[in-house]
Amino acid sequence: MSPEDRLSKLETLLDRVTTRAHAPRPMRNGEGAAGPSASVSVAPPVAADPADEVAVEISVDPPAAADEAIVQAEAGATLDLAADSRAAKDPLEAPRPERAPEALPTDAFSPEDLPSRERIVVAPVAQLGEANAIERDKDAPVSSEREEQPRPHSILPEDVVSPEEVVSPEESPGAELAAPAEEPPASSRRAILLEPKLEELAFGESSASEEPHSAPPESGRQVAAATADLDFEGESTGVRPKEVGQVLAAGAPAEPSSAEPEAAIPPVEPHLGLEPAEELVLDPQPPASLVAPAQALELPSPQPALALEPEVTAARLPELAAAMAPAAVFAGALPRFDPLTFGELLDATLSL
Amino acid sequence: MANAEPVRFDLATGRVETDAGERLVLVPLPSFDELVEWAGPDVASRFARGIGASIGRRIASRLGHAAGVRGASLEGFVTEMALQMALSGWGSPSIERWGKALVVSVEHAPTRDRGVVVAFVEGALGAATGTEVHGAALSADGSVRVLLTNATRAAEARGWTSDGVSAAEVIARLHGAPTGVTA
Repeated sequence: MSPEDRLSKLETLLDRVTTRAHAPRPMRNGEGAAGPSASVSVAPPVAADPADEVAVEISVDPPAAADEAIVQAEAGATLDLAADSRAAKDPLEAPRPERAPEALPTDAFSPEDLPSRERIVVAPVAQLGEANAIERDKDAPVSSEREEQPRPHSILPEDVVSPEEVVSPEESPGAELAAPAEEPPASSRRAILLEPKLEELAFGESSASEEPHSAPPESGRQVAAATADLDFEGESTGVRPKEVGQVLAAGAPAEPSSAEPEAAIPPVEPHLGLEPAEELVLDPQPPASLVAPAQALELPSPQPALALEPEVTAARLPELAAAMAPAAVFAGALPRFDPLTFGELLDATLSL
Repeated sequence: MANAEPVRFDLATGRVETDAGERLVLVPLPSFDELVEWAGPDVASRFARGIGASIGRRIASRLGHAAGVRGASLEGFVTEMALQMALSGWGSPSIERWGKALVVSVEHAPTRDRGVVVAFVEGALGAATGTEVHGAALSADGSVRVLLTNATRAAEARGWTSDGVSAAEVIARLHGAPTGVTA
């Protein structure tokens, strides 16, 4: 696109903004006075003629009406798609500026230009414009001289697109994935399956194929945190006996996991010849039943206690009698004194 | 067999006589004890030996002299002896056989002096059998046990008994057992 085309587009845009700025607007209750005012300064490219430099300063109340949101959506789509997607990922955490120092050209179209009303109402887009304004405010000094300074984030004519070309972040999920997302805090991230479940490690494939976390309700858009950046070491209060990689290294040769990131833990094969103690890899936040490892994990003792029992060998009675037979020989009879008369006894006692 | 009246009390003449015409005198026991006490053991033993010899002669007369006594059974001899002792008031005899040893046990003897009882038994058996018999008193409770043997062994037995050797030990020693071994 040539500079002339850019200038023409800019002029057209400026006209629309001017027309829009002078048009009467309805004021909502309480928002007109307290609403932030946006100041948009559009600088032409450096290569353009200084005579064609246009500086526009308008006051915009972004959340006041839907048509203003449309304007900001249009401008936001042309500025920084990466920033938009970032803001769309976590709209709750995006700081809401009290006063937007800059605003985009807003009078490029009228409500009559829109084909339908439903396409206009895109709430996240309105905040995208605010986020873009904040981004620009960081780079540009806050002074009245900004109008004369060249803008680092100038809006080029070719970047200005028509409302029909605006694609909201919801309609283009690829854009938000491609954009570098700001890292959300760990507390707001949802823990996705990081490690194989205990049942899978211990018994192979788990019987119940339960999802680690149920899908969020349809009311909001949930963006899963990048699993590669998660680090629950600081939050873990449970037991992490061993890493799966170490277990595999100790047991059977594991497959090279160079293609897999650290968070992508390869599934453990059910029959690897591992010891039960090594197969137990707990989740970062195990269930309550597994928090006490001494009771829940009954590891087999290394060596059972030896029970000493005597080995009794009893003799057989017939063999014992046969063995004792030649041991003693009895001959004759005991001398028996049984006197029949008193005289015999008297003689015996006198013979003592 | 003797007559059926071994002792006959003649009230007209005031005489007590045996069937052999031997006259008897009934002596109260305290007088006998006083005699034993005052006469000494030897006089008392001689006195008791004489009483026993009288009984032995009556046994022999009733059993057919010495041969009849020697040929009599133990039960027959002890029965006749018990009869004659009962008529004289010298207690109830029994015979014990410890191996070859003959022991006469006398219960309810009229005196507590065992030497007197031993002399009584020696006199009775010697008169009944016509053989010199020597006895030694053995320790016993309530009765007087008299071991009958020859004079030498009787003297040894008396010596052991006086040393406190038990009756069984004395009898065992008489049977040739070594000293200190109880049969």
